[in-house]
Amino acid sequence: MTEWTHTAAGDGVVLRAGDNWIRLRPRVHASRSVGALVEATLATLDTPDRIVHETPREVITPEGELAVVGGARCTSRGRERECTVAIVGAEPALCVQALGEPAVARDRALALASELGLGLGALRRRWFRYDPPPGWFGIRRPGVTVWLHPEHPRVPACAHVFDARPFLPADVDRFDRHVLFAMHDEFVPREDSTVGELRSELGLAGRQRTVAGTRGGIELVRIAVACADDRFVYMAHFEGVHDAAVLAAVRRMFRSFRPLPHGRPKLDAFAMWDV
Amino acid sequence: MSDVDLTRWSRVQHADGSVVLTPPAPHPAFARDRRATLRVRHGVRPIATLDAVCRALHPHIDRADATERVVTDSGDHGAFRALRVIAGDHALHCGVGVIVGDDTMVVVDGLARSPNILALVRDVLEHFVWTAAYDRIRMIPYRTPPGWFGVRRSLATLWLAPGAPRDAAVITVCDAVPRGPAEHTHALLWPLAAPKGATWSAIDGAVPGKLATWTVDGRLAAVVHLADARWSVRAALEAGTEQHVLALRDLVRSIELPPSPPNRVAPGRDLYTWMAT
Repeated sequence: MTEWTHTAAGDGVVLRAGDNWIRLRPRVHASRSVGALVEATLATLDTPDRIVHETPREVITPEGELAVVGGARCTSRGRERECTVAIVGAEPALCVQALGEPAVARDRALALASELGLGLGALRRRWFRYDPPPGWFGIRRPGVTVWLHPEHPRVPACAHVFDARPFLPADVDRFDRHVLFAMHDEFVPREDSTVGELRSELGLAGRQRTVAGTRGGIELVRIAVACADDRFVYMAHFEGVHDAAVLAAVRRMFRSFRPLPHGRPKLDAFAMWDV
Repeated sequence: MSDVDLTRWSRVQHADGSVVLTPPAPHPAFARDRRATLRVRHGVRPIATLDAVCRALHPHIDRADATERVVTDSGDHGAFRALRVIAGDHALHCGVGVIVGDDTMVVVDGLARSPNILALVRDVLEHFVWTAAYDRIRMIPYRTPPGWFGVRRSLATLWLAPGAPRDAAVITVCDAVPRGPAEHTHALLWPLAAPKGATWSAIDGAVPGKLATWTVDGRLAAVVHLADARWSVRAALEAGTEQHVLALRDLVRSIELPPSPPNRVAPGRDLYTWMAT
């Protein structure tokens, strides 16, 4: 069994065993992609070559957090090296970076990414998975991701997808919705709105409201969406041109909303069935 | 409690995530006051004192009331202060409040000619702003030994003795950790453990726990573990004396764990009322 030493390191801890190392940072705020972190980890090696990248894959931790795992193999100074990166959660995330002999650091890093708790609480505002319209440009803001049409502003079309929110006490919920979800006040509805049922492909149920009108003399359509599962509320709104293709793309995005996963606590009751 | 209805206030969201609300005119509480505003900013970093926040907002403070400690409905801690500030030729009432998170703050500030803005800011702070999940690794209130200097680290706070650096004693107080996988993470970051042969004794505070002491190079070291069904808290002393151990005991006895979680209410039909406008 490999013995790992622990060394405190500023914003986290570094585990070492021989020339294998694993860096754990439990609260990383600046979001970087798994690919970027893999490159940063490989950059600590002396002239790595014959680099073979692993395709990043999504996993769900036992705590119920969304995670992405990636890595690469290479040689450095004639020796095989393996790099593994796991990013658990987001804003902030738990980052695990590992480098060392094939399978040694990687196995321990993957085990840690699975065992360690993010410690942020399951019932908080969280990113959730969905498929944005192809080609649209995303801008991250506190609590929301803004999606702009590829030809925005020439094609005025903008969607806001809010982070999933847990059920909150009534006053907090109303204040949050009034303040956070408000759209521009100058919109003038032209006709009565239509409200229809919404069901995402993975079973989230809710409603969507569509209304046509104008703002600043421009004909626009607004769509507001709200759906919920047993713990979270998923909300979004769109304002843009009355174009069938644009509206279809936006509605497909809403239907792609995926509910956040539940945690899978270890149940000692079934331990006797472990083989 | 303020009875101002915010639903008719204009809202402007800024790129930094802050939201500024202004009342319609005329308003029963604010008349036609064009300066009346309420602002909410989430994720403000770094955590600063309320004093620093007030000075950053208003360089010309005419009068400042005493700071009032605030505990929100969700059990988070913060502070509020009422000010009178000079803006141009006017003296305005200003309420400033902060809710302290783990490494960010929520800042709520309001400005108006009417003192009604103070109760409104206080209300928003205590009842309407929600910051984070209840069951997260979080800072907790406790009584620090007089004169000790605190330094914030990742998920823990280090307290240096008044005579530092001559006095090398350091008390580490870890954030409260919810029972479960997060304990494993926190233990990796802060592997506070007593060696074999350490002397254990019970801690007689509001939260049950135990304290171990031992000697290293003629100085005392100690580790404390407190736990209930929901939370665990650990603390440690390095390079201390008997007096420092007493200070640690006193600190630990004053620890307040987070209160019971607030009720979660499924939104029901109310979920869709925001879509009306």
